[in-house]
Amino acid sequence: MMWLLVLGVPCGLLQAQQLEDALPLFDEANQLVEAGAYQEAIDLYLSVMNTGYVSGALYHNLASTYFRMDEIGQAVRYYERARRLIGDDPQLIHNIQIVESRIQNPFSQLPKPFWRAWWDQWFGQHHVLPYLIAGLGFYFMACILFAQLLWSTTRSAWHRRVRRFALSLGLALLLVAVLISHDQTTPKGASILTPITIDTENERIDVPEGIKVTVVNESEEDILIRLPNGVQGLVDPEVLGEF
Amino acid sequence: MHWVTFLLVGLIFTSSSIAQTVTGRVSSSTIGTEETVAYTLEISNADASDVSSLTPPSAEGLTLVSANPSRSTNMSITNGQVSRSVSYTWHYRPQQEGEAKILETSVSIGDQSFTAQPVTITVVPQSQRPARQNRRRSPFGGFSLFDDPFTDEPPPEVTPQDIFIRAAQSTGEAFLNEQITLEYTLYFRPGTSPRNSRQSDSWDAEGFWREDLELPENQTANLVVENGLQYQTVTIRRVAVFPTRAGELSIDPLNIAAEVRPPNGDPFSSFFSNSYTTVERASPTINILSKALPSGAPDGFTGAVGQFTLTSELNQTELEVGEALQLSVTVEGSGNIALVEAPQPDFPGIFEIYDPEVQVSKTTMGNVIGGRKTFTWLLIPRTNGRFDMPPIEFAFFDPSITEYVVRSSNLDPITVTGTVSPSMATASTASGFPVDDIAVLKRNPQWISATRSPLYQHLWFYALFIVPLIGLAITAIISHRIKRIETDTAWARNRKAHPLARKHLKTAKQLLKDGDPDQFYAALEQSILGFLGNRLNIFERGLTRMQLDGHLSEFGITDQQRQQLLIFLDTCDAARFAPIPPEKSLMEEHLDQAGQILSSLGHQIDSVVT
Repeated sequence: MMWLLVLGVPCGLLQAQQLEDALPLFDEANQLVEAGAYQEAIDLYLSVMNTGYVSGALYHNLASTYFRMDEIGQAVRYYERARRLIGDDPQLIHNIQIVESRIQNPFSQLPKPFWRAWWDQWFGQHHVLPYLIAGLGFYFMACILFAQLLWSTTRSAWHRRVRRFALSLGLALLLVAVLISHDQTTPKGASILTPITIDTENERIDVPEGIKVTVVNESEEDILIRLPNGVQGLVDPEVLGEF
Repeated sequence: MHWVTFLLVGLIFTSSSIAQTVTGRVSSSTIGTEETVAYTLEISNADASDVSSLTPPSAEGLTLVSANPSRSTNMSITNGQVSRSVSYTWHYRPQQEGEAKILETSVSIGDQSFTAQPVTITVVPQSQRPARQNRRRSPFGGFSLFDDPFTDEPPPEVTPQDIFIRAAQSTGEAFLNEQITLEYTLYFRPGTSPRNSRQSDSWDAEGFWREDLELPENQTANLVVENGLQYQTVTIRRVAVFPTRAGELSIDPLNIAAEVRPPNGDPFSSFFSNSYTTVERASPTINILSKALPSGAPDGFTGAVGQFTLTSELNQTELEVGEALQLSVTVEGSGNIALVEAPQPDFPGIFEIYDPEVQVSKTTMGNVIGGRKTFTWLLIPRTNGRFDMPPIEFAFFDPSITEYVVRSSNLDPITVTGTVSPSMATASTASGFPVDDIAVLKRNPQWISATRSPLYQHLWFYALFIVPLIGLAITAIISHRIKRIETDTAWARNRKAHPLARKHLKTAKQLLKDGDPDQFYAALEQSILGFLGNRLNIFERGLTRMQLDGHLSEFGITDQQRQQLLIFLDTCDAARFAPIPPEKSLMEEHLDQAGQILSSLGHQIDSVVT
């Protein structure tokens, strides 16, 4: 027990200190945005990220500031990061629509696989914690019912149905929690930070700034991306902003 | 036919200082087999007295009718300039159908020799010639002084050689959107006097952007000699065309209709004749190779071709939020200015930008189309700050050097002061967000770790899974053991054999310390018999030595071990009931011996059971 205290207390204090550092920087950066000092505000927002803590509001404000600087690619990048944390926020949705309307997207979007569209619709904007707690609750309940089964000599169909239901629901909720956590922590794609031209076997394709692409394969020298229309091509890592 | 005579009086000839030219021409380049052709050698700026060594030109396929030429002199005054000429005419008769040729001939004027170029004539069957050539001829040859003016003979026809259109192009191949100048010239024989000329059909240049070029007013006809025939020429249309697609392109013929008088070789009769006829003529089709622009176009190139300059201007560099800023960008030069598109400056996002207003003024420098195009943007800053304006760039292709050129114009930074007043705030959506703009800031962040990882990478997540399972497994084991203890007596007794034996030995050891030999040996005996009873699942109470020996024998205990056990049990009995208790050292020896027997029997029974 002592070692928990020895390790836990300093860690807790350190985290509290980091949060105390982050909040004033965040507020100061917001004031700089209101004063029109966008580049300074961006520098401060990035320093907030270096404290080890982020938030949907931080990504949102950083993206808005990049938008004011007319850096559409960076704006798309950080709005998409904010979408992971506060995807159902109306202000964020409004801003994303505005930014996307400024992008001259020449590509037709390939349709999503049905399972992906279904996932995005039902779970894409949810948080992991409710699913995790509910899943663990049902799982523990199923374990207790199994334990009772071991002690008890009586068998009833009602008991069996409750046991199976709790186990199935618990595991399903935990699976959803795992998938949501994977979805929210794994890079989904990247935005084009500066206009580029991609050479394919048949043509040269101009890709405007702000287009969202999928990273297919990475190497140190270049990255294979897939455009919204499915065409793939190699680009320099520096022109991509991962989100 | 009408004839008039006139006199020229009081003219002073001053032609001696003007250069002479010698031109040979024929009355018609196509004649019938029964016709004659007149070859006229005209010597300008010379008198007959100046001419020496005049001989009839030699001919191939033609026979000279008379070696003595008819001579005529001409004098004219144009714009105060006096010109005169002398002409010698010979007549030739064709020998046969086909090509005939009047060879080049030389004439000496003073001490200079001039040469007239050869003339080719086509001789066709007489039946192919127009009727006018078949009419009855005057006995005085080519002169029609005695022709009957009331004759019923049809008027002579106008041949394609008498009037035609020639099209000239500045180049046969050009880059996409590069200017090509087309010029259509009407050629007509003197005396045809075309009038009321008009375009008879629509004219199109598909695949081209075209701009008509102005023709000079009061255009005068030029005199030229083409293939031995004298023509007057007038430019009837001049057009600048710009290919809008690459490849082989064709421009339709230009069709005109005009009223003309049939030429009969007699200027006097033509002049006074009113017999006009309408003819239609078409220019040749013009073919142009339009070349695609070379690769490597710079960013921002939108297809402008020519030579251009670029200027830009801001109407102010310090303004307040919401105040309008005007940026004017002017592209000027030669090229198709109408197709020049606005540059796409990368304005800072703080500006509300309106589509540019465009002003175009076209100019023509000679035959070159050009002009000036001004794009004026209205920019309204939404927030304050100091902003660097992007350089304005305009890219075009210069065909004269076959390279792309980028013109650039820098702008001063803009300083915006003040703040957005409520009255200037943009309209809001139903949700309260600005229309067509972002809502910039969000407050109240909910902080999370920046180094988040998915659940499956956390140990605690697996622990939460496994701990209940481990508990369940322990529960299952305990439950199972309890149930077996309840149902399997032999197993339950066997399980507790060793602990009970150890317990009795421990009691015996305590009794040894307490100095109670009777209870000590009872405990030793109890530990051994209890152990055997539990291990062999037999009731040890009231068991005789014989019965015990029998059970041990069934479990394969060796004779030596059985004897040792029985002797030890007898020793214990003897010691318990002896009047004199044994020495403590002996009791300790018996305690060790009991332990050894238990261990030995345990191993033996285990080996037999397994």
